[in-house]
Amino acid sequence: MNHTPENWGRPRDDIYGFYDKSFLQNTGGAQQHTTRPVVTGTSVVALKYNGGVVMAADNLASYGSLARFTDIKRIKQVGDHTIVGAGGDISDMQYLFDKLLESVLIKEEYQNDGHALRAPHIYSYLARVLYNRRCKFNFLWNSILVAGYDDEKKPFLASADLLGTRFSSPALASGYGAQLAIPILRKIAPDEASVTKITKEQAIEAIKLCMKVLFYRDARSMNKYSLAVISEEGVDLTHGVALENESWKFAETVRGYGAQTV
Amino acid sequence: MDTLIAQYTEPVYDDEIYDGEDAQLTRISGPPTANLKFALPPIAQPSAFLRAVTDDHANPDCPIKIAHGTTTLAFRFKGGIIVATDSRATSGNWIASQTVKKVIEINDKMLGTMAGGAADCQFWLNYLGMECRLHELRHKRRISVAAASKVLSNIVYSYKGMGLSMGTMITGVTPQEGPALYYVDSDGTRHQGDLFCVGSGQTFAYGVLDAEYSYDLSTEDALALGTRSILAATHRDAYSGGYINLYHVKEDGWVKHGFTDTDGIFWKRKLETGEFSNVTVDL
Amino acid sequence: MAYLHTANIISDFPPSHHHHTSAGPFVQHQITPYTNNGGTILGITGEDFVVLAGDTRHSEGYSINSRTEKKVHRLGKESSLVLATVGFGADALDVVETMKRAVEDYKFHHNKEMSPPAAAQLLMTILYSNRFFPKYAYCILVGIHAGKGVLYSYDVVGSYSKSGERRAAAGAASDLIVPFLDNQVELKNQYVPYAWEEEIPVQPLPMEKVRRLVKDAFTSATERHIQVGDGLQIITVAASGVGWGVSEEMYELKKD
Repeated sequence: MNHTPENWGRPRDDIYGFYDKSFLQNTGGAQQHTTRPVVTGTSVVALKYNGGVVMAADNLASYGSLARFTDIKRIKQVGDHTIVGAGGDISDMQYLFDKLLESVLIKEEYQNDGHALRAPHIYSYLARVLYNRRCKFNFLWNSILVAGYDDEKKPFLASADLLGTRFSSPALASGYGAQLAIPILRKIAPDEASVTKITKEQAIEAIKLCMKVLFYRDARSMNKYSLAVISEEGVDLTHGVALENESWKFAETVRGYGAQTV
Repeated sequence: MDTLIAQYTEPVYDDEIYDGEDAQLTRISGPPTANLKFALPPIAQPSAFLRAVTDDHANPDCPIKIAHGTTTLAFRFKGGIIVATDSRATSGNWIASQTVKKVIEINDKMLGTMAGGAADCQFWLNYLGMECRLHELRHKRRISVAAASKVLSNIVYSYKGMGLSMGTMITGVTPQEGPALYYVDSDGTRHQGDLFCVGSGQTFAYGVLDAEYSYDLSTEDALALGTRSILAATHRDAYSGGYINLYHVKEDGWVKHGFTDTDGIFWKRKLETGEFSNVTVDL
Repeated sequence: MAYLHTANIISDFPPSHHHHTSAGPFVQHQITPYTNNGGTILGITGEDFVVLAGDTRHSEGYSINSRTEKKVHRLGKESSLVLATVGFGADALDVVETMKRAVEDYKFHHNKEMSPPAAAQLLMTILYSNRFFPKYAYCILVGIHAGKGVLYSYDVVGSYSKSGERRAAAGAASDLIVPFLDNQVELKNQYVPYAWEEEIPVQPLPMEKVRRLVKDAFTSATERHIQVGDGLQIITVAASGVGWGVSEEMYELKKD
């Protein structure tokens, strides 16, 4: 403890060592088991509509800047009415999807009591897993979106990330989607009230537009994606949906970099 | 048979969270006493991590700011012990509070003072209160101030190097000791003495207190000296200020002598005695 | 004697802060276990009621995650306890969930509601148990005790005033709101007009005045702080003739 008046009560450098800023900047002393994301997926986007939720995530897994795998499914159906989409580290995603969620589902099935896990339950579980891991400094390097219906059968959509941060909104997107897709989605879904005016078709169209804009500007994205539509009939999850009406014409009007001389 | 089934029905992978390590759950359902389980960041240097995220003096941009800054004093005299503190808490240049109660009532006979981390002092003096009560129940008599202060210093010494920040004075009057005063800090230091000032404003308080102190002070003069010493510190130390919290400890317990705004005391003092002539004023 | 819970400590890993990052195709991702999700909370007590409010913006950096994320939580259906937390969202919610669980357990064990002073001490214990790995969550706890509105506010490691406080604000815009409360609730630097240095005496404020102050504080903070805005959740806990009542009001804030 320092006894000089100006920094009284503070840690003394000769006892505690010099102030080490590296703890604030990177994994610092925590690197013993913190992996860096290696094979990664990019954005997940989702939007609520009147009666359900639409979600999309492309099928690319990048290895740094290399487009390594092009048929990766980053949206998983969990039970009858819930889907989970994940961005970030693919191996951590596969651990969440194939090990943890499968195990949770099987355990729930054993009960055979007519009760089914709905989206808020799955979400709560996943968010706690992510938070638990951050408390152990052993992050699951993902940001996830969970969509489905809540206990009142109303559309549910929420997000959780590697720190365990949780939030919910009518339109959500992770990664570059937070910058590029959210403005598009918030235009039609600024608040919860506006969700009741959005039809399924409008929601799908908006999500498709987002995937296109993301493909134009996100260098770690691709033109093939998984699209999930949750409605009362259940989950309609299609993998390998091709980007429609792709046009790079706008590129000609972009000035300021590239090969142009004027 | 059940174990056989269980062997094949349990998932191969442990369920995350349900691994029995949830400190929160074990804590609230566990016994309420002596349950000192502290969550630690699972890294090689927990104290360096803690310092990185909380030492706003070394790094004003650190994410978590714990309240600091203080002047506290206590001195022995023939009529007992005077304890006086300011009431300001600062994080960086921000005055987090002007109304902190820095005198902690361990029980109705003993007082502790708070300097350094507010929570450290509060928690451990509260814990000390529990230990003192247990001592009374076990031994059918009050704990001595010497023993109480040693219990505290032993506890904080066991956490040495982990980042606790606490500078406290333990006071009380017991039949066997008379007026007793001990200084205990988070390094594990423990001193008996007649007079201590602790905190960022300690030097200013010592200046006044040393000049005027005498063991044979009347109670009235002793209370005035405590106030005057804190006033000097609040005037010159930017991290001290607010209100003056004044206590008198006697054998039959402590007596509170107000929580008074320094502003009023300062101007009264200046206008009536002519002190603080460094402050010019046109009236 | 005290002992430390030291599971999971691995100390033999070589220090590697200095390894450079161009070796692989990967970006060196920077990670700390904390982030700041912005927002502000504010509580004011009256004679027989207490108001606790928080904005509903949830942000990280310059991104707004959500405009409708509530920060003020009731701790039990039958309880007068209400807790608001702000700082790092995940830690803040964890503190709330731990408290909810404890309040529920207490009811099961003792067949009565936890009193605000008990809850206040419990919250300190919970926060302090993370002294060496702090929960980055500033808390304000309110409730009704013996017919009076009570309010406790905490720093991140649990220090609080046992006697409670008249008002408190925490979070991103607390430095904008606290001086306003000093002036309007504690009546600091308020003098009787035309009377030389006669201070206006501090009195408990009526409920409507408190709600007005809360809205003014947040509309002003919304104008001047980027992390504050969208919506305002105001929970009022009142000790009425028969027991108490908890009510919630939502108030729109600017969304820019």
